[in-house]
Amino acid sequence: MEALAILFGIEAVLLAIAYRLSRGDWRRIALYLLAATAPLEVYRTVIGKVDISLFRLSLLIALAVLATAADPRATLRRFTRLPLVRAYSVFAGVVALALIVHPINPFLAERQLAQIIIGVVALGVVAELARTQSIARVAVAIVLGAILPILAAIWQGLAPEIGASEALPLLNKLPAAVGLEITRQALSSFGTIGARAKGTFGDPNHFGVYLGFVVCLSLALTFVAAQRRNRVEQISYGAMAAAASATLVATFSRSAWVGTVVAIALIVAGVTRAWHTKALRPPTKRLAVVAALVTLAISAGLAPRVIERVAPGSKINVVSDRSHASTVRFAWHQFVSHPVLGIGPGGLGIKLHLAPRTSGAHSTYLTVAGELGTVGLLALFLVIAITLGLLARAYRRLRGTPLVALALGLGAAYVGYLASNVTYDIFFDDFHWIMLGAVTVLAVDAASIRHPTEAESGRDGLAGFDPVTNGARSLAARLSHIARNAWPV
Amino acid sequence: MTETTPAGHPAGGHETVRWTHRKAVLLAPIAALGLAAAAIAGAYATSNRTTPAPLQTAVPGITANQPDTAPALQGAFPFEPGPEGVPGQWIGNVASTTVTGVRQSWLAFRALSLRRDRVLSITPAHGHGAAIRIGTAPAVYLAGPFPEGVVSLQPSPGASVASRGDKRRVSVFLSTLHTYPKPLAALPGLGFWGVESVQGVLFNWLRDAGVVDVYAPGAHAARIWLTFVGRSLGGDRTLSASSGQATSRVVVGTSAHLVRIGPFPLVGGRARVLVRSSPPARRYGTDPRPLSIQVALLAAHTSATEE
Repeated sequence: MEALAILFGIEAVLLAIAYRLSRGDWRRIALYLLAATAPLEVYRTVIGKVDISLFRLSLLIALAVLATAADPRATLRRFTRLPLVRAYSVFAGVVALALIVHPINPFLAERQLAQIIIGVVALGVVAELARTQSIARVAVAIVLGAILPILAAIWQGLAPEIGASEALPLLNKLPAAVGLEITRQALSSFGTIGARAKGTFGDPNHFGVYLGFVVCLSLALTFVAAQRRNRVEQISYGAMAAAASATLVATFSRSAWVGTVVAIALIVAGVTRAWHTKALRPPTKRLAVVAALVTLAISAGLAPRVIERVAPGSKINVVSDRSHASTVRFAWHQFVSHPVLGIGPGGLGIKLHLAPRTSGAHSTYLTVAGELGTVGLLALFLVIAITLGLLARAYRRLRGTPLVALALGLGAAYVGYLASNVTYDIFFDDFHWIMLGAVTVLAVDAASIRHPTEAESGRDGLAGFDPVTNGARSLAARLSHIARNAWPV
Repeated sequence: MTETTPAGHPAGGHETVRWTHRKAVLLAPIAALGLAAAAIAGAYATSNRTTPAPLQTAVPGITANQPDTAPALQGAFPFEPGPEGVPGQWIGNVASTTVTGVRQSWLAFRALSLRRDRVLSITPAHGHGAAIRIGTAPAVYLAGPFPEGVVSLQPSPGASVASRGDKRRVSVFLSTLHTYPKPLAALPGLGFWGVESVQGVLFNWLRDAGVVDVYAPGAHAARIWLTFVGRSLGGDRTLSASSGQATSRVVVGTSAHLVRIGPFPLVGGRARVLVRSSPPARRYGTDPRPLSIQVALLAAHTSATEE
């Protein structure tokens, strides 16, 4: 009961902050809560057989908001029509089928199914909550949600320097589920690499990939603010990007670094193109100097350790590389031996003698191939293809407009996320559902922006806004309005 | 008198409101800049808190040998506590395991044979096999090298009925199965909780006291050292280790760090090191197990000059 009281207490505090930031708009409150609690992974407990996390409590609040503020039947109809909801339902069906055929690890299989179902509900809820908001506001909610995890990582890094415990508050009073005890007790990552920032996540790799996502969105919001010549927002979002980047370095997660490098390369390519087409305004000299100084501050002292971590054959990577190579090969052999439906969900955990809640090959694609076979792999590729399709369509529609920065940021973050999943199993984290919710909102925004007069009624209080004849100027004005309302100060 | 506005506010109120608004507008970028500065400082602090990897002991002449994996047995009976209290599995007439990791691996395990000695034939899918004689008393065995892939384990003579009350047909009891890249094993035994893995790193929790069995067949070394990445739960603990007349003592802190204990005498290629934690283990959170020190990447080292 004490654990439940603690979780409710934290949720109440976050709710109060969200209420203050959102000026009483309950859809925004629910959106902020979901974005803030998705990365608070370690704040969870188990009661009986039920896992209770802050994110799930936020989901319940969001469902209550939707139930009271919207027509439930229409909401449900819209939910079932979302392409990503349908695609993930297919994936869940494949997991259920594989569980029936190969019930090698029912505990983990049922958990995986529950995780996907809750995730699908979460992405639908984010999309529904954001129907009256905008992609900019969703992006702002996600970036603000990163403040607590970054603060936690700062504390974990600095606490020992001042002789304090690096433990996060109240965690010792939250009983952990079976298989998560070690994660709960591990104050900093345990391994050959030494200390690694993990913030409010159980695993520094998951934290790193999440931070990569935040970096992309912060940069996108900075470009949007630069377009509007809003210096306050430029500084705010730019500083958030710097904070997330520094913490990302401190995770010492190669998978996260690879994903973020891929994402940043895509953003650079896209933004350069947008500068050429004058859809975005090029940075001023002063901004370029500040960016260079921040990059120097982050990289100067950390570079030797980063190089040591990424160098092939580096001594600190030997155990990790060997372990990853062996699990990848093992999963490949399982896939070759059971090509249709794999060895069953959670099978790798059993066969590799992993902890109760762990089952993976250190590569999402090979884990799915080994455990769910070709059928599972096809379902996974269907999900990815639909997401990439939504992003590509949104980018094409927004190309030539300032909103392209957000399409680029989100698209690059997703591609980087896919790249990280090549070398780690991170596909079903809570923040992933928020990312997919944002993709859905972006797709809807892009579709509505194609017809400015339709788009400008009812969203972000833009009803009655007088569109000018030039489409781009109309969008810029709309964007300006969105962004002005987005920063919650 | 104070001049008032039509709304009834003092004239200075406009400036106050403007200043409050200005403060509110400035708060976000200042807070964000503060967060960025703190994050950079935190990243530097985290980066400086390194735990040296056991493989880079940098002691000349010392060779490291860490376990790669703790593979499970396929085709054996489910896990159960063994005679020494270490969980293991009974093999019937045949079982198999998968060797992964480096190209050549040695299999190390504890084993005992039911009622009579048996020869355990270990046959890889490709390459040479090995046969080892398993006695009726629990002991540590090591066989190899084996290439990657499935390895079958077949006892001879075959299985027999376990007991009057247990009609299972069993032959050999195997526990703490590990693969090593070299023929030098350090197996945590009685007093340690079962092997766990986080991010591919194998570790065991120590209770109050436990034994580590070292086996290096064919090694000419007279002494061995043990290294591991250790972390004490809740507070610092003193770890005392002894083997024969040799004793060693080290403080294990709450942050993961490399622990090196020894030397201990190696007799006939074997050593049994007794480790004890002070203060003793206790329960943390809802984990029912009493825990004291987390022992990861346990490895034995021999001095090259003595080989």
